[in-house]
Amino acid sequence: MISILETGYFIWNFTAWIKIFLLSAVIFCLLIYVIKKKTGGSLISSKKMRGCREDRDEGTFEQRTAMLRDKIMGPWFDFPFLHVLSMVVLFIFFAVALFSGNGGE
Amino acid sequence: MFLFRSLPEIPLPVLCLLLPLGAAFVPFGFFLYKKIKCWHKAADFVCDINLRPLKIFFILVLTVNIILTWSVWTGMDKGGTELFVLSSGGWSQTLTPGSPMLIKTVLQVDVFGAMSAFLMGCIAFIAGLAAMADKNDPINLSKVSFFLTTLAGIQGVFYSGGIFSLFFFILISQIGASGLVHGIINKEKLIELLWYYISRVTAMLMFLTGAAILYYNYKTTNIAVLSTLIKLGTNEKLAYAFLVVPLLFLFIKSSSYVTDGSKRVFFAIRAQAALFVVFRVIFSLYGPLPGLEKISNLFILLGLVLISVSLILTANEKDPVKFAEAVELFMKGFLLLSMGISIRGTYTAQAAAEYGFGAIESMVAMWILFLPTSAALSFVCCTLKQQTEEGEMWQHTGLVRKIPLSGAAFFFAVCVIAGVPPFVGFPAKQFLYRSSNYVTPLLTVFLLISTMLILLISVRYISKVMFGKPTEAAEKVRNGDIQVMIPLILLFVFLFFSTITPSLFINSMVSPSVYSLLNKGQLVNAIHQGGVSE
Repeated sequence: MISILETGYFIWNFTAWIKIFLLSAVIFCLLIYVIKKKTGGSLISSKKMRGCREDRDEGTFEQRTAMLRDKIMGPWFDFPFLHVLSMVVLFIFFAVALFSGNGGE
Repeated sequence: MFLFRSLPEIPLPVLCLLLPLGAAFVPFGFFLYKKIKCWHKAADFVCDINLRPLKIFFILVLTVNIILTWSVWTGMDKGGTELFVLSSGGWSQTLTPGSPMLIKTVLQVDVFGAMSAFLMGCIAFIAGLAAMADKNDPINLSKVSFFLTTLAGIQGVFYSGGIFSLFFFILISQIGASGLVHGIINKEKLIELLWYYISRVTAMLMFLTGAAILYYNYKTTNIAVLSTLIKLGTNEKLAYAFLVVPLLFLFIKSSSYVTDGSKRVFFAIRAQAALFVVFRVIFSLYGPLPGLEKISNLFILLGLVLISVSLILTANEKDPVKFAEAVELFMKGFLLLSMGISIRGTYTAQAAAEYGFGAIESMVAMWILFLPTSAALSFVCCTLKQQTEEGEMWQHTGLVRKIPLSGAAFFFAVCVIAGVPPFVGFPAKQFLYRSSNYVTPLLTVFLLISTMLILLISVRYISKVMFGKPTEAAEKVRNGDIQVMIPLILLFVFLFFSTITPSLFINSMVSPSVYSLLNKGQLVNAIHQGGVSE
């Protein structure tokens, strides 16, 4: 069996990949086993689940991003003249970068 | 009479432009004929035609287009750049400084443009197949006409060597795209429509202003010639902003909310073409001129903003089309960021050797992959958006048995976007990770974390839709894969082939494109030195 395929830009070392995937799977299973043992069968501890509805699957990260999207970004997306505004802002950015003296490197 | 005489020796790239443009007028002309006929008879206008000839015509044009663009691209391998001169003596491939003939047009096609046109032709063919199979929004005269107009405009963008001709073809593609978005004017959305047109007209005018400034100063808008003459002053800086900003905007916001897969693919093609023009202006026309150093930081900043915004938008998104839009935004962010690093890497020889060329190769590779992955996402997400007896398809979980091919294509596309090894996105991204490390290691860490996040979010989305507990209504869902089966298989073949042969992908598509992008003025320099080019 050919276990290494050299393509010039990427090495298809199949044996190495299988080892990596197997190791990842072992670590993943171990992690799940430890968490389940600690929480008594559930991936999320019962303390954290208190007060949550059954069908609710939003985490803190999602709630924060949803708030960012709906409360802060949403109103801007609803403006009909957003396209023109975006172009004006982009133009200002470019003007500043082009005319603000030498810099960079 | 002169045009008629020059027809027999017409070069292939010109034929590639004329074919879709001419073909777009056929259904449009027929549409007008029907309308006038109804008006003449004072009857209500009903455009009922036999769809079979229209479909055959459409697919024939797209197939011939692929063959022609393929011929142009394979012809490029010998020279790298080809000239086509239309003079008073007809078409020729010679341009000499003291030519006695009156030159009417000079067309300069390079490998990058030729390869892009072929790739775009293939994706347009796939989108055409999907449009013909669509039963919810059947193909009609105006749809075919607008598809072909967009195609002609974009093809022209890839083959254009001058800024005015770029403007002309961007305008044509805009006419086609406007027709695809708002085929029929809806009075309820008149304000939105009005602002859409205002923004597009503004973009066109800005680009025209930039071209006019350069023409006023140098009496030419040919990119190859300009690249050898340009000196950075206030006018040139203004022209830079006027040329880049509208196209960058058209790249980032390429379409409105559209749930038709084939239309979305055409908008993605247009976005890719817009970025192509930005590449031309930044790398071929201006290059690493002193005074433009800060632009690289701006592109890196814009890339970071787009990546962050896309992560926020995807995190809790349930609508598949909006999800696809947000994931595309992620790809766009990576492209802008790689562009910033590429610009930065072209200023000194040391930077170019260390990371500059790697970043440019990564940028071009991601740019090539943008279209097929975006097309796959569009087809899958628009399939999920299909109406069922109870709501839309995505609202029923556990769809893996109903749309297995879409599920597999979705997963494959996400892996390519995230650059998971061994998928083809990985060789494209590994150069970028390496290059970004030279700017700051923090940037590499940010890129790796954001890639991991988009992968997790996408896989979770796929698993929710595909492997969730099936609802009762999900059992009644018809197999929605059938309509997009052939397009998805064709896209899968391309992505799979480039995955198993990354060196072929890099050597035959990416590296020649990078070379021609950076050496646009080489041909003109040779002519200035007294040499006669091919």
